[in-house]
Amino acid sequence: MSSRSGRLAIRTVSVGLLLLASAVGTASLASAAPTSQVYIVQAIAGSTVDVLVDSSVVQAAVAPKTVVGPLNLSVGQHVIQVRSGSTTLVSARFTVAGKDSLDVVAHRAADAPMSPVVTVFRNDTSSVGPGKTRLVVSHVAVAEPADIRVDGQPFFRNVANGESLSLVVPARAYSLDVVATANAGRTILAPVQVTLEPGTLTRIFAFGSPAEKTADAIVQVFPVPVVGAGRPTSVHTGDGGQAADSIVTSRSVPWLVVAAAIAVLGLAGLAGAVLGSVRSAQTTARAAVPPAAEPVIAHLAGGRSVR
Amino acid sequence: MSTTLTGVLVAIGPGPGPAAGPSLADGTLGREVSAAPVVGPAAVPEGRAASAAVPPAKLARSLAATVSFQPLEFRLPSGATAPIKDSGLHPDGALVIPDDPATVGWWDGGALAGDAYGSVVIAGHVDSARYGLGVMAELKTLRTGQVVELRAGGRRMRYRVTSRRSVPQAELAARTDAFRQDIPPRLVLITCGGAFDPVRHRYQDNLIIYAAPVPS
Repeated sequence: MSSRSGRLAIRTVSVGLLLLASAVGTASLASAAPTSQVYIVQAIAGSTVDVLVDSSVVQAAVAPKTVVGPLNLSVGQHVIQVRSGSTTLVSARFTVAGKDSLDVVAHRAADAPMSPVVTVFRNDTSSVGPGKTRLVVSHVAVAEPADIRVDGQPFFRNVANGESLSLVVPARAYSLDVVATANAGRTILAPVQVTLEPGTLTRIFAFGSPAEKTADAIVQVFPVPVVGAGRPTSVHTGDGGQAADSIVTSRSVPWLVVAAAIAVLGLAGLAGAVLGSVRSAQTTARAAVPPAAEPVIAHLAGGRSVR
Repeated sequence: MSTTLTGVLVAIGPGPGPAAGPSLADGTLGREVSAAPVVGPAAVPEGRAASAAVPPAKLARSLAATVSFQPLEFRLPSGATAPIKDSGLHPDGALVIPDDPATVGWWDGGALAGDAYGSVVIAGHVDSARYGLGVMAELKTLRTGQVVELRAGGRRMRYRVTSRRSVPQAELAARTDAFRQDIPPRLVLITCGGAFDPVRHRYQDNLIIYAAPVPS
């Protein structure tokens, strides 16, 4: 994986995946009951916060652009609290239904006071096809509804704060940016290059405030199952011949070659002529196949009569 | 497949202006936080006074989660329809095609109907020694501009025929882009055509129909 790119950040993705995979593997073995995987995403630009879940500190001093987790939370309701010092910036209830994978995102709303809010995003970890990635781009920035552009093309228009765009795309490098749908398309998130690995759910959160020049992106990568066949080497789609434009005879089967030769010549038993005609009889127009080519005609009729 | 998930954070800074400027190298790297699990204490019981005061978190709206679908039925301009089965590969790499030519196969390594990229590949027998002519025989007379439809339950996606091509079967995989995924979305219909070899029970060519999605 890392050999595909010399870029520092991409290498970090690969290494990080390995490390976390082993840690989580141990944790999931220990718990028999179906548990959730809950991630807390710190998308409040400019604030370092303490994150509490159900009144317990999960992680103190969490800087922006940090993902905390996964937390194995039981089914039912939980409360997240985001504190800065002794001030609670925001608290909210959220519900874990079962074997969920949830991103609980603390960010700011697009309103004037830039109120801290919590939005819950469900991670769609269902399978993708070979060589593909599920790309989910979420708008949690202090900004108006926006167009999310992939390689300069607006893939989704009018995405508001708290909404996501989900696409299954070929795994490769993309340029992604977010511009305002109105307001002359002002830039909310300037183009970022991101290389997507196959067999992943890759989440990108556009957060922060373009007005305060704190707009930024958080990238989160989950492995997902890959389901689907590889690329076919061939497609054989007909063995009856009823739809054929013409009939070809196969050089490798002498009896048919002989039959075709007989048909063309209208004579039997002329060995020299038979050999001479083999080369020219490679493709014989279907309409021109005379009755003497019995095996061919019988075969075609047999197939045609079934339906 | 294990449902164990891992999350990783990479921070990427905003790029300098146009798309030409990759920004990963100079972006600050995100901090990874220990994956030590927090075993959730008891869930807060519903309706408890303490939690009633806490507002519920907003649920995010996902805009494209339900647009793509695996096609289950196929409709041709004549009105003929055919069920679509999930098709993988034979051990030799050939695409599995349903025996009954009234049924067609969807290559399950390709795109879903409605995906933002890639070829949705549907293939079926043009005819069969056992069953006779297949539903795909209609491809021989499909014209540019005609519309075919993929369906699944109440979902449907229409495609307008843009071009057709005939290639020797041996060249389909190597010499055409029929299976390509890193391209704008399209429908690729494949059947057999050209001359038939009754000894090998095989056609010489593949007939390929390309169609572009019709905006709904």
